[in-house]
Parts: sequence; structure tokens; C-alpha cells
Amino acid sequence: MHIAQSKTREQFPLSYKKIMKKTLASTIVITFTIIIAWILAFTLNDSTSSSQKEIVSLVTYGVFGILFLIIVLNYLYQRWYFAVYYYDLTTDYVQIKKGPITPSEITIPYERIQDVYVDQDLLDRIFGLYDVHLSSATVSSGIEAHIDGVEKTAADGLRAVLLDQLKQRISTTPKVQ
Amino acid sequence: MNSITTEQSYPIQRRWIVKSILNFVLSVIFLTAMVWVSRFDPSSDIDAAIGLYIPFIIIAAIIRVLYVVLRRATFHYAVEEQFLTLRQGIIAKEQRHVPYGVIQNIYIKQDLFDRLFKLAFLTVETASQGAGKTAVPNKQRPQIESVGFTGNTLSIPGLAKDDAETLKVIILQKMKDHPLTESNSGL
Repeated sequence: MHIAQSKTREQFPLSYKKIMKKTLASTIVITFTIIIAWILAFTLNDSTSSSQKEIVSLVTYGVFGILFLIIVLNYLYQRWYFAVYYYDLTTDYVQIKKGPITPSEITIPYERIQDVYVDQDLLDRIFGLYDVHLSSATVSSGIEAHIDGVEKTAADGLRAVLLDQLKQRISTTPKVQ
Repeated sequence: MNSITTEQSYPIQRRWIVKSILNFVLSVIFLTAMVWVSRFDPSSDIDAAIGLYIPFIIIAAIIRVLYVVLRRATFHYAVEEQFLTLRQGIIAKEQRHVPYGVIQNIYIKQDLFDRLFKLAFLTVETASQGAGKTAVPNKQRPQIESVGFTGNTLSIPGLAKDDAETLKVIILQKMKDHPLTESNSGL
């Protein structure tokens, strides 16, 4: 697995647990959807003939086969996503690039960062992961600009570096008369 | 570096027209196929339906080609000394001047077709909601396949991947050279 390294990612690495977390999260969603569809199919099917029962059991095996395939493919995709995830805090701006198939890259100068916040969702708490968000005044930066799946030390480090950069720039901005 | 960078140096590629048409035709076909499947009636006359449907797609595609070609021809941008200047409009003309100091972020995106055609989509965003009749809140991600500016996004699609990277570096350099300082106006 060739990882898109940058100085920042070397210093504050993404956690490998992120791959498991992402795979688990989507597996839960997919499993629930499939189970609901399966239950619906069963309850709606009121046939008693044996040939149709056979078809139902065949379909059931098929569904679980597909589920397994989806989980494996998803795991491989998450590994790939993890490998190409690129973030770098350069001297002038923050650059975040992600997406193996349809790459997107956002560049925000430190002066434009409006806030820095760190959060965890339920699975993050279980895995001990943190998401570091930073956003400029635009909606898309709020959606796109985050470094998710780092451990506590890296999250604290990233936040400290970002806040330090902001502080330096705030102090050099002339006072409003 | 006093030369002004314009769309002459980093143009919207011709193959972007092909890409947008392909995108459009595929989505129309997909949508109509969905509708057709959901209302499938075995007794209906399929030949007649297809006979109506194909000319409809062809006409829609021709209109779309015209629109995209004109849109591409009437879109101009220039990375000038103090402002990023954009002009657009087929019938109603619009111009916009953005001081480098107010650019919030730069976004480069490639969707699936962009990857196939080796294109990229550069979006520059400000904190303004735009002015005039385009001043509508833009709550969407900047991924709509449109040329030019609405609200706070200025989009240049169909750039060659390397051109998009170069243009990004040029604009970032301009932002660094012209920061917001000693001003109370926000400009």
C-alpha cells in the first residue's frame, strides 16, 4: 500500500483504525438495508408451494453472498481511500486532497480559516479516533475541509499547529481604526 | 510576472464539450429508462415509443451542444494584476471582478468522466453571495457542471489537469501577493 505522504501526514499520521471504522460504518448501513429488504420479501411472499420456497432460499443465499462481496470490496476501497488521502499544512495554506476515483482537492489559506473544531461520532469514540475540521466562509469548505480518523495526539497536534498559525496571522493584521 | 493569464493560455478544452454532452445524454437515457421500467406495460407498442423517444433525445442533445459551445465561447477569465476578472453570458452579459484578498478557498475536482477525458474542474470561492439576479444562496457543493459564476462560486470546468494545477498555483501566488491589509472595507 503506497501512502500519499506529506510532511504533515508523517508528523500527524492517519490511524490505520480508520479503515476498520469506515468499513464497519458502511457495513452496518448496508446490512440493515439488506435485512429490511429480506424481511419485507419474506412477509410479502405468502406462497406455500415448495418450488417457490426453494427460490426464496436461493435468493437468501444470493443476498448474503452479495453482502459478503460488498463488504470485501468496501474494505479494499477504504484501504485505497486511506492510501491516497493527502493533507499538508504548508507555510501559507492548508491543502487536503482525497478520493481515489474522483479526486477533489481543497486549498485554504490560513488567513481565511474561520474556525477549527474537533469532533467524534459514536464509532470514533469506540475506535478512539478524532476528526479535525477547519472551514473558511464557504459552505463547500465546511463539507470538504476535514482531516478525519486521527488519534488523540495527532488531533491535538494538528489543532495546535493550526491555531498557532492563525494566532500569528491575527497578530499581524492591523487594528481597525 | 506582469503578463496577464487568460483563457488563451489555459483554455477550456474542446473535449470538455464532448464530455458534457456524453454526461447529459447518459443521464437522460438513464432517467427515461428508470421511468420506463417503473411503468412497464407489456401490451404497449414499444416500437412507437422508441420512435418518439429517439428524436426527442437527439433534439435535446442538439440544443445542449449549442448551449455548451456558446457558453464555452462566451466565457472569459483573466488573472489580472489586482483582480480576477470574469466575463460570461450568451445573451445577458455579466462581468465580475474579484480582488485576490477575498478568495476563501480553491477547489479542484475530477469526476468520473473528467478522469476519462483527463480534465479537471477549478472552483474559486469567495464569501460573497454574488450580486444582481445571480445573488441566490448557493447551498450546493461546487460540483454542478456549469461554466462561470453564480453566488459565491466561480467555476472553470474542462481544464486540462495540468492547466488546472498551474492556474491554482498562479492564483495562490496572487492571493499571497495581494493580501487583505490596511483596509476597513473588507476588500
